[in-house]
Amino acid sequence: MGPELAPFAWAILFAPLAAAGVAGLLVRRRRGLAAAVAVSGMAVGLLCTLYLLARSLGAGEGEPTGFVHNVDWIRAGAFTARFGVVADRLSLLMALVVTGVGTPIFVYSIGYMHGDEGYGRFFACLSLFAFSMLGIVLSTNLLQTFVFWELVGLSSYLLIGFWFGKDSAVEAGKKAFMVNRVGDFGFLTGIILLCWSAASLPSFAGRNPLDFADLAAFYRAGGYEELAKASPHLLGLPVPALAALLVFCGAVGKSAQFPLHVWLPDAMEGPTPVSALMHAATMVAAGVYMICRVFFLFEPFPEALHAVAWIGGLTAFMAATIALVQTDIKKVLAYSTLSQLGYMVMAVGLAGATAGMFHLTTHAFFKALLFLCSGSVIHACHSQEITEMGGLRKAMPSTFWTWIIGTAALVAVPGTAGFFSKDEILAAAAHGEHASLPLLVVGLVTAGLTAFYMLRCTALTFFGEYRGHGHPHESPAVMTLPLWFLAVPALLVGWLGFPLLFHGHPWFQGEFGITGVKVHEGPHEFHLPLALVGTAFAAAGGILGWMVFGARRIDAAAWKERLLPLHTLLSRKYFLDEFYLWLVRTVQQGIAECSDFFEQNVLIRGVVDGLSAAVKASGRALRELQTGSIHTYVRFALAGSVLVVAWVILSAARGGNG
Amino acid sequence: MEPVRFLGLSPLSWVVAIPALTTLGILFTPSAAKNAVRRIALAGMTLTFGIAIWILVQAAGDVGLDASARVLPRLAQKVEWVRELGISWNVGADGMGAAMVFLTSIVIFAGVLVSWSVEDRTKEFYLSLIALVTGVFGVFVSRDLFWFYFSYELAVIPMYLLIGIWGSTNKEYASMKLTLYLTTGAVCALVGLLMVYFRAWAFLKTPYPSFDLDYILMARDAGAFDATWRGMDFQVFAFPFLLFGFGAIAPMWPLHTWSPMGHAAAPSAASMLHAGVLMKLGSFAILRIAVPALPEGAVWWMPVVAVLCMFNILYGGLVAIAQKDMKFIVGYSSSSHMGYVLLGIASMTSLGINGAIFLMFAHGVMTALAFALIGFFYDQTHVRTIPDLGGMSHQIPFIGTAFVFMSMASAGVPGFANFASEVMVMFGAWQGGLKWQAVVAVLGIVPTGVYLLRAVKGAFFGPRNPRWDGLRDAVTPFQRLPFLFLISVLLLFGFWPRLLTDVIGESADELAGLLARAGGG
Repeated sequence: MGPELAPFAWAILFAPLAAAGVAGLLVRRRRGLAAAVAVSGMAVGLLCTLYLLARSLGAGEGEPTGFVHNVDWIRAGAFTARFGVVADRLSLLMALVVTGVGTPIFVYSIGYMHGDEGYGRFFACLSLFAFSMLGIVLSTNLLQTFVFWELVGLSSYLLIGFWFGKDSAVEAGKKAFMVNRVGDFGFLTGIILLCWSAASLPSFAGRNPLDFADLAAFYRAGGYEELAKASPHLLGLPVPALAALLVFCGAVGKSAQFPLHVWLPDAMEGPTPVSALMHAATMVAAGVYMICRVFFLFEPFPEALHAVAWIGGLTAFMAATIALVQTDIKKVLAYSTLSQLGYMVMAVGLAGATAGMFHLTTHAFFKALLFLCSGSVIHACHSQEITEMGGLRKAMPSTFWTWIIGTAALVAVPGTAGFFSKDEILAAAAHGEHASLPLLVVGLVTAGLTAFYMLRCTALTFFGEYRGHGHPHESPAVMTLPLWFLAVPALLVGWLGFPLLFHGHPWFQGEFGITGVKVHEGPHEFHLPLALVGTAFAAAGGILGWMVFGARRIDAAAWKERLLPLHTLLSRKYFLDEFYLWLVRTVQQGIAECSDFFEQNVLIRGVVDGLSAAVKASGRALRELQTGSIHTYVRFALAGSVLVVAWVILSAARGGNG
Repeated sequence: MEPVRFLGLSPLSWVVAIPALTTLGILFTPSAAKNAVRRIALAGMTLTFGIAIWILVQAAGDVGLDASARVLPRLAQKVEWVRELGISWNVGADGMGAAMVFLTSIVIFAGVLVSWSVEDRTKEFYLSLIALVTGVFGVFVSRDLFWFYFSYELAVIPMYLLIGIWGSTNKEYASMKLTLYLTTGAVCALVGLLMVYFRAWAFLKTPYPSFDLDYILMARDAGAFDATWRGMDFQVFAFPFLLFGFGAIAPMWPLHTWSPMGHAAAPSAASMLHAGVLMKLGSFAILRIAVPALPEGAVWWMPVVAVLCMFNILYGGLVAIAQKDMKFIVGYSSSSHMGYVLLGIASMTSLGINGAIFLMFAHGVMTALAFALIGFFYDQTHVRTIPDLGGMSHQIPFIGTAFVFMSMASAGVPGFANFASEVMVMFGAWQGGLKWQAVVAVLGIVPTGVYLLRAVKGAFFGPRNPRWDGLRDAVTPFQRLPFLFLISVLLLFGFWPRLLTDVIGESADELAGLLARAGGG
């Protein structure tokens, strides 16, 4: 396949943008039409992705499996920023996740948003998001990635704060935007650092220092050593390693890794389809995708990889513990998402891009499914609190069974999608190139915690007696059909990566995409003992969760009393929100107020008004000279004459002496 | 090379002549005929806008062509006026000038539209507005230092009237302060201009001196400004007069305090012109006159600018966070954004200078949009402070949406021209060796986001407030036109920056080359 297929790739990108424009500007008030336009935009993207993926997988021996198509976006001096599309297996897989999860969610939204005032606006924003997300996926260079990175942040802001009359929603949108900006500060700094460090090397000449393919080729030829040697260490790290970590900052923001994870749970203020599409399946995975895309930046630097793996591991564990005590069904899923994102990042740090992408793919399907199920439940109960639910399995059979499938995949029941991808991560922690026992333990414990909180959530929502108001009923078909549509890949997509089935298949050999991501041979072997251990941990957590909340053999309230300090610590999310609030309200606002005080009092009242007062005062003083009274003038004239005469005499005397 | 003339005048001369004729037309229209006044102004500005587009298209067409095949040089026009002093009507344009003329025509076109509702002394209002813009156009096309300075002052005085008569919030103090500041700056710059003017004459020993910029540049090339004066390099000595004189209007920290106050007090259209184009005169003058005439002085002084602009960026942003009045927020935001312009210039790279000029354009359009929007609701609410506003998107969704667009543009979200230009400045700063400044510039996106999102939330989001139930949204296409127009411009150049960066490119290359040679020698 070659660049002659570029129109298809451009269509993936611009179909949703066109849909956003049409839905937002032309047919916003014609609700059905706006939705139809948005769904078709996404569907066009899906079809083009499938076509290109088929072409890539069907590429013959020696034929390229991907292509890049660029145009010059900015040219100034020696600097060229390009804008393009890359269609290789990595980007197409991700595009498939975005459009494949996106299309059913768009359809689902037709039902979920039914009757909302901002129906057309919703679909316009959702399409804008699809455009931005696909822009990241298809980006050919770092700056373009940053462009769409920010656009994704924008659409996230617009959609989290979609119900702009609600203060909490607006605050949450603002928080998401700002926390991401902090990460983006690192990201852009890293891009600039990398760009000019590379561009200053003579051996880099003729390449574009922002371009993935050019950079990857340069690194593969050993260029990173030259880069490291060319400039002194910064902050104790070689420059390319520092650049890699700065770029990773962007992923920490977008993929909600510790310590920038705080925005994601709040983002659940947005409509549920938004949570499913953006804050579970795709947008938050963009960080993982991005580090996979630029994995070559990390690969030569074990210290960078360790940092990545540990940030991921820490996030996975911490978020799972918080999820144990949440009572809002979407918050449980949000913390679960955080935890799984941590897994993915850990996977990239430990085992490389393929393991991370694998878990990203499986997670996208089952987590989107779980969110849509929760949306269906919320739609029925008009509440998000699991304490006000219960017994819904009878009233909502479709939702219940699809939820069970999603849960099974998430807790990694053998055979479901999550099982295979999680196994690969654990295998990497145990046997991989950068194997780490502490991270293996983190992974296993988190697996147990995951099973515990999911069983708790399932038991409280679907079993027991209904504790809420009204009579919940199953959602309409436009909402349940997408659930079943997603349930199939949630069950099956893991088999694609199952080594015993696909090992040796040409799809998984050689290099993965234009940046030459290597498919790791090692972790693809299936480790039965490890799979058993992982399953045992999950089973233990699950059984415990069921004993407490399903079978009620263990008294939850009593244990809560007993572990009250721990419970408080978890339900207050380790007090991190308080810390950030203090940082914003006190530190940042304090600095701002100080600057303002300086501006108003020192600069304006002091210097500026002081100067004008000085001018006025000197004017007033000089005015005294011009009194209009003849007496004053005569007095001055006399004094002047005396001075002149004295000076003449004195100088004459001095001259005489000389 | 056949000069391009229409009725004896070059299109560049027409860009000044049409606003001047428009003021005349308004002058001879009876005060009571308010609609006639508005229509004359709109007609004149539409025509100017058309010419500006034509000039920009020619400039774009010139890119990469041989000098002989270009259209832009054929637009130059020189008519001698006072030979003994060397004053002539002398206009010319390069990519940078074309971009600035285009910007001005955009802002005044939108400004005329949003001022439609001015009922108090309509005739005088439009008279001052168009007189002001005549001056601005004059600065952007002039290649004669006398006319340059004359136009510069011409732009300042009507602003005094506009703020003093039609303004709000402490308008007497603000208008007085603004005028004093800008004239003081201008006088300081005038000292520098005269130093250059006499020095060039003394060196070239021509029968008469000349204000012609080309004459000055010729003197520079001949070495007129290489002398030392009392142990000090002439260039190093003279440059700060121009730098700080023009810098006051840029506005360079700490000479910026006139600007937020002036913004706040001015009526909408005046704020639009003030922040949109008047502030650009400073950085434009530095690039058009100070740097080409005294490149070695520039190389000596640019590190100082590189430090001062950090204060613009971060300090301006922080002060903006502490503001409650919407116009003050945008005012300090402008001062922060102009820091990026100064940083781009201080980088002395083609990329940075290109970004700076592009940002002057982008910021001009964005900030015009901001003041148009604030003016739109302030006319009805009569308050602009954040705790009082809130939830207005329920009543005026169109203005709310446009305000979100504006904020996103200002916050440097891609898709708008502001992002592309600011990123160019950041990359350019690093390339020019200003690494820490580049990091600070990137860091600046954080406070920018804080105050803009706070403004959006404080004014438009949140629960419905019954106090604003009577507000009228922009509903007719005519009411919406200026807003949609400005947003479209931002999006157009944001999606496809090369429409402008290619045009600016050669001006930037030339300046960067000049500075590089001056730094080397």
